[in-house]
Amino acid sequence: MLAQQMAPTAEVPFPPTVGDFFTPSILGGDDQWLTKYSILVWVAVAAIIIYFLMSYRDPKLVPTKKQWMAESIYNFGRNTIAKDMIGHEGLRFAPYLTTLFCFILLTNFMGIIPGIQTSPNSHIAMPLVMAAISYVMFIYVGIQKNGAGTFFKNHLMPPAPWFMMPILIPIELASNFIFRPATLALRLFANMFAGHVILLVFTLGGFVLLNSESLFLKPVSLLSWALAIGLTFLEALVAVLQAYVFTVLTASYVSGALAEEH
Amino acid sequence: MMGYLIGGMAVWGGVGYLVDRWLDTGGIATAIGLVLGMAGAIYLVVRRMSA
Repeated sequence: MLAQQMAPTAEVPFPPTVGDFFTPSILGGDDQWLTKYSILVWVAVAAIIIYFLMSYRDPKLVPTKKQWMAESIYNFGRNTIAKDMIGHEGLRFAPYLTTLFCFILLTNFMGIIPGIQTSPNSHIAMPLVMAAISYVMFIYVGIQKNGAGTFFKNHLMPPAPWFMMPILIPIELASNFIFRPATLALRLFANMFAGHVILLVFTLGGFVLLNSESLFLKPVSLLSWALAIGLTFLEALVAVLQAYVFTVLTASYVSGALAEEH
Repeated sequence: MMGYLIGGMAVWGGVGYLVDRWLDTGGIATAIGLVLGMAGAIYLVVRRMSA
């Protein structure tokens, strides 16, 4: 597998497999803790910290251009997501939601930045941990605000007549406490994974077509690469959209947990 | 919302599947469970969204 990745021109590794997502360890050997993906995560964290520290190092009342940029990003997380979804109470979640949004956005964009072209979110571990944080958080703040009794009553007892309850309570339990974190993680993971596979198919497929015997198939590789470029722009849209969706859904779960009555 | 629809079918379809295994009814209970779960989920979505 390593040999295939090292020499793509000699023998194109087509079709792409799940193995393409498990890059070899940088340290060599079987140690899998330091791969391209772990470094990408560190880079993303460092980039966000440095960017916001730099742009807010010398804040002015009339903001400079870079301060305005950073403030606009925070403003988006604070007003558009936290305040609109949760309400006034949501302001204390604004730092978390904005950080989440920036981190997912940056790691998603790594999927299309030339030279990196793979997103840490295409490994299930990353979305899973972020979904777990959101999951624990919405349960914790709900119990803290309303008490365990009201919180579970709100999330398990729908507004319905009593004879519907035996059917509805198991559905509520499954959807609120099992499918919520699962779909949250899977949605982001699947989007990034599929996006990467599609780009691989069209880019590597172009080489396969170019190497093919038939004279008619060779020019089709140009079409394949053109589609790869077009799909890269589609991936940019998906990256922003999925970061937004993940953050908004987290906000919506927190909002549901904080609500007093349905 | 998707969670409700998946959840409804998964929970009651799952119960129906277990009943099938238990009573050896050959898929009828699974079908009833899926329909029941779907109906419950749609009812829940309508209730939750309009409330």
